[in-house]
Amino acid sequence: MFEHVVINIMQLAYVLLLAPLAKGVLNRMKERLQGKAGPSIFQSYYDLRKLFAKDEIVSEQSSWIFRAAPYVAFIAPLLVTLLIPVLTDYPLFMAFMADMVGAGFILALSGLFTALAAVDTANPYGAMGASRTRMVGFLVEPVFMMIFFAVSFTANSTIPYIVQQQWVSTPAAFFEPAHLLLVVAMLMIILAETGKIPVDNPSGDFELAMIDEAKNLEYSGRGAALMHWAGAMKLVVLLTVLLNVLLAPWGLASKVSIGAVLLAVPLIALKMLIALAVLAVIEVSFAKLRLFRIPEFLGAAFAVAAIAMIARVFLP
Amino acid sequence: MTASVLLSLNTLVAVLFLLTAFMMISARQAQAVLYLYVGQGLLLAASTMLLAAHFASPELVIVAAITLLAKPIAIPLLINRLLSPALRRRRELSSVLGIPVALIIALLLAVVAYAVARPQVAGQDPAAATNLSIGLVVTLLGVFLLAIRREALPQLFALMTIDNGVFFAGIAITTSSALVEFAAALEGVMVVMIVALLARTIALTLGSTDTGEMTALRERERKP
Repeated sequence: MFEHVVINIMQLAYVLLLAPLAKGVLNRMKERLQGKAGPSIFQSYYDLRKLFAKDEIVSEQSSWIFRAAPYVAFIAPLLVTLLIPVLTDYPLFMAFMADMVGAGFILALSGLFTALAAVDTANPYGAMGASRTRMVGFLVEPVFMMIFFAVSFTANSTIPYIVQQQWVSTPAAFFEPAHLLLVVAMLMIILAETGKIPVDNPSGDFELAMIDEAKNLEYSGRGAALMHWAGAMKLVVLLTVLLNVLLAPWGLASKVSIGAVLLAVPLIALKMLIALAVLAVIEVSFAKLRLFRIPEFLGAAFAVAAIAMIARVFLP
Repeated sequence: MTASVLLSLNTLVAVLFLLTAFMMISARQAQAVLYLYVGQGLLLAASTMLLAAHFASPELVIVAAITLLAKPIAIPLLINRLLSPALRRRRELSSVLGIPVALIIALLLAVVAYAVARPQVAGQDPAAATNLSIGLVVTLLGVFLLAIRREALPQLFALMTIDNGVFFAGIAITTSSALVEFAAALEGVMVVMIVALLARTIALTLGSTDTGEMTALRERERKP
């Protein structure tokens, strides 16, 4: 019991503390791939420290939503962390509180709050960013649903810990077409949800072209720090779902001991590093899609997920 | 290799084959369509090889070799030679329907085709069941693609997709006498040559291969 509590705290700490590093590594790799030197991989930590030390300015016209949104956005990925296998392959005591659909709802709640907060201050760019994120958001939704259907058909469950056991049980299950297509669909969804390049340009400074970043323009000081941190954590949580639940559930600790979990940390960080390298290559080698091309990109993701389900249900 | 690994590999190839058909619907550049067609040919050859091993049929090995020579190599080279300007054009291909709508209709078509194919393949060999149903779906998608594309080049590829779909189903049911497959694989080259020459003539005469605009018999009857 005591060890379970400690391991749970370690999972939270892993996501909380390594998320800025993941963002820094991704930015650095992108710059290196483009032949530039790039910022230090610890740049996100410096940014956070700077922002936490600064004064926060909140518009008098804004309501409580604007002030609550950074905290909601910050807590949501941490709540999801409790539900998914981050370091261990056995369920911890929060694991059966909600399944993947529940985790999706928690992330959707944070999305709702940030979108409302962006509209709240009446900054024109905020409202634009909010409406665009919602557009991407509701196109992502059906793909998520398809992925859940296909996962539940395959693993007879949508609890992440049970799904994860399904893929490692036999090599035939791993190379099943439904499984590989699901991974592709999930990767496309992650690109869209975290504002990565075929959908949005995370390093762009031009407000008119922003999707994800435009929502945070009004935040300063602590609010901005929490928002940036939350964004990094969301990326780490989604990548963890992709890696530990869907794609490669290896390297997780299987013994209930703190030592085993500590041993699992570098292995999982290595997997994460490989995933980040793949993301960096995708971000460098594609151009950002025009806004009205995004439905096509997500339509393709939907088709992939639907084919995965067809393959699962109909093929022998 | 054990039988189950062969079967699951064949299912994987079949699903990727289906995916290329979907991607052809969402492609916007002529060259992307060509690459997808090359991929489709390679997957077809791979499935033929897998089925040859599954049914222990030497005829299918020969069919696979012919497929590998004709579909991903000879036909693209031929098209590249005859229709080079249409292929190199960077303009977007036009489509009667928007791509998301087309994809959703294609998904519905796929489900309908499965519903039709499933009772027919019940009790068959599992590899044959996979190939028959996926072949039928890709054939239907090819017909759909032929209906929604406006230019001659993607229509040609839609035609060849129908051919691929039929072929994909065919290799699963004829295993002993593969004479029909020999003929079909070679006939594909002929069809491409004739259609490509036709499209080239149209392009030389009218300056474009947009068949969607060819609604009148004589040019001056067209509305200004």
